[in-house]
Amino acid sequence: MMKNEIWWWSLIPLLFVALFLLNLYVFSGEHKGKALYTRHCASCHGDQGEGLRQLIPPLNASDFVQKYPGRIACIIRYGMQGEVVVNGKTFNQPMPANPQLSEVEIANIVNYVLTAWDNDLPDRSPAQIKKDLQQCKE
Amino acid sequence: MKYSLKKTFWVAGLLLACVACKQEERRLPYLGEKKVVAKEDGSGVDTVYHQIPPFRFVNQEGQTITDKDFAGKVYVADFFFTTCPTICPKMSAEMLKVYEHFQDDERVLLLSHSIDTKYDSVPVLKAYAEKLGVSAPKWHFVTGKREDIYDIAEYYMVTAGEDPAAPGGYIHSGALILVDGQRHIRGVYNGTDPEDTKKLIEDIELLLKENASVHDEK
Repeated sequence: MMKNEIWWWSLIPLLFVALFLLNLYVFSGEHKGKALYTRHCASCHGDQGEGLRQLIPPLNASDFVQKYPGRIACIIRYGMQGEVVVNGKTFNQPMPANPQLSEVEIANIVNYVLTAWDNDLPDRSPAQIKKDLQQCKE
Repeated sequence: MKYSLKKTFWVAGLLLACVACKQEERRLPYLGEKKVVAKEDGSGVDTVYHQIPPFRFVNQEGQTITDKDFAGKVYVADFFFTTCPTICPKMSAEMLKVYEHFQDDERVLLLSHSIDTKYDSVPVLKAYAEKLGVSAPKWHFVTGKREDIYDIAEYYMVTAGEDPAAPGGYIHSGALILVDGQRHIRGVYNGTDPEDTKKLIEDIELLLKENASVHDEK
């Protein structure tokens, strides 16, 4: 009986580790980024960033995302018009602006896209996102 | 003891029979308002189901498309516009699954109505279809007189309208509507939910069987 109780005590550090991991997940940008992406981006770019045929360019395994990670924040905020070539295909479907999204929300979406699915690109810091947004060409 | 065993078998048998008959009898409902009218010869009453009225639109090839092109076929209709920033690409992606599933079955057609009759001209619709990798006569993207499109949307029981406050300037439902060979609505599906698309494909199969048996009777 006594032995049993002692055995339970050893679980307490484990509980702390679990809580700590949960915290990391709940407060991480990735968690929020995914929710924001699903809400604002997925209906066109797809749940897996796959795009739609020649209509909507992919975000997963996209040479455009790899080459211009600093342009994503501006595109989210101001939208995009005209032709764009992604993975050798030409797309020309206007993307709407998202003036309702805050800088922090945009940062979370950008970092989600950079690391989601098969993407494994370096995160952009809040300072970098701020700078990206200041340099937008309208 | 013997009696109760016999009884159990009876109940099990009945249950089985019931399941079997239910499966055989699963038929899609007729949606919309029903009317009961007296037969002309006075011999009783007939039920008249809600029906899509005759229509005439122009497709992405510039061809005139009417209800005759859909007579005896099963088709899926929706309402969209090419510059729609919200749910349309998702709807197109789900319609695309239906298109691919029934690619070689000419009894199944798709009909997308543009609600932006100002911008979505024939060449714009053609470019959209090409970029989606689909073509007529399997999948018609149609335009027409503004009021004709909006009027027929009501018969398909979907909302469609201009709204300057909405993203893209239009509001519309994301429904995919399943119509049988006699222009009766037999199902309405959420065009943004992949699970609903699976159900739509199953229901089309069911409707095709029903259509075949209707032809046999004739």
